[in-house]
Amino acid sequence: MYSTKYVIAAIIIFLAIVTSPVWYDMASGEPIHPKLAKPTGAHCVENTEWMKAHHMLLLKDWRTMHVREGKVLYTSQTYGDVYNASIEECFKCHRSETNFCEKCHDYMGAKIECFECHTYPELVEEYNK
Amino acid sequence: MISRRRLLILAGASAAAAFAGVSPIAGSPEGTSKDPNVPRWAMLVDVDKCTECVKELIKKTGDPHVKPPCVVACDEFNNVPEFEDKKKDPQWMRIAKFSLDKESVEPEEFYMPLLCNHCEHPACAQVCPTKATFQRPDGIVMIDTHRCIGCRYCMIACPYGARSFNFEDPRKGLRHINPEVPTRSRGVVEKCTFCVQIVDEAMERGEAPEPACVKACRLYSKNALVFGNVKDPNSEISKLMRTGYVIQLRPGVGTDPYVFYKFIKERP
Repeated sequence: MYSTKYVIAAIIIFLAIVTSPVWYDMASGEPIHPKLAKPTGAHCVENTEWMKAHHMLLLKDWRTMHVREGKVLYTSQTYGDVYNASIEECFKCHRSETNFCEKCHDYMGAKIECFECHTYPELVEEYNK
Repeated sequence: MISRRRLLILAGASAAAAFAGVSPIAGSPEGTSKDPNVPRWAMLVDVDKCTECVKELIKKTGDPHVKPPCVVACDEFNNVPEFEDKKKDPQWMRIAKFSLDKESVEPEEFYMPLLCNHCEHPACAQVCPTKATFQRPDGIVMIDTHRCIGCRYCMIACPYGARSFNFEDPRKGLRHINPEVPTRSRGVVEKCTFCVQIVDEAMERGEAPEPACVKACRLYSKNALVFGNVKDPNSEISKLMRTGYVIQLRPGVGTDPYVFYKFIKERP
């Protein structure tokens, strides 16, 4: 093999550049997953794991129920308790939109459109100062 | 190859279907509930009391476009924004001045509130291409803003000009937000909902609902607005509708509006 020294050095530099984001994350000491605000309350409307993945399915269901069919109450299939079928119900436990919804969606790169119309506690506070 | 006989049958059948009004596109609206237990909401405006209130307010403030308590309460409750540019300013309820050109019949000008009439046959719901506007069984015509694409067909269809388009983000024109009602976003149509949140909540608790404007009129003004169930013959609105001279706006267009205007004496 010719110029072994240079080839190996180049490979090491290449690997260092490629893996640099990983090193940067480790060195900066910030957690990789966003730290979400802790909700109050004992449990979410449905199973927490399911809610993490499919909360939009539930919200869409609630939207149809509430707006089009005029049904206001929803009974949890996991826990059996009754909730108001409205996005306002979420904010009873998840007090912060910016530290919960937005933080995770920012990390995932998924845009939330709910709050273009719906209000959240921080916005209401800002307006009603 | 299609036979002549079959072609004629198909052509005849489609012609008959078109004649009978069976269309795959139009889709007739379901209409309000025939069940006597489901209410039919309506509003009655006492025009004489209303005129008295607005005239007093104009005299007091000197502003011909002054907002009476009902409009202020509506804007506050429903997060209706206020913009400098009146062409872009959404309005759910507005006060209009009327005067008859026959002065011998009615020399005085009079004022009435104009709002969504929650028609029995809403033209807006029929033209909506996404079915965002629909009629609830209790007669309230509502907009599902999740579905609204902002085409404004409904605004053209509405014979009462009750609908407004959000040319701007309404939050720019708000100073105060009521968390009970969502604000709208830029690019959707909005209008009066008879304060559907209040109606639903009151029905849940088994009380008689009272929209924001009606409440404000009762508390701060002349009690000119009455809201209630017209299916119930003993409700306040039904009783009041049997007195005086009650009209609908533009009855000729066939929408059968459910906001009624009451005059003490008959005006032609």
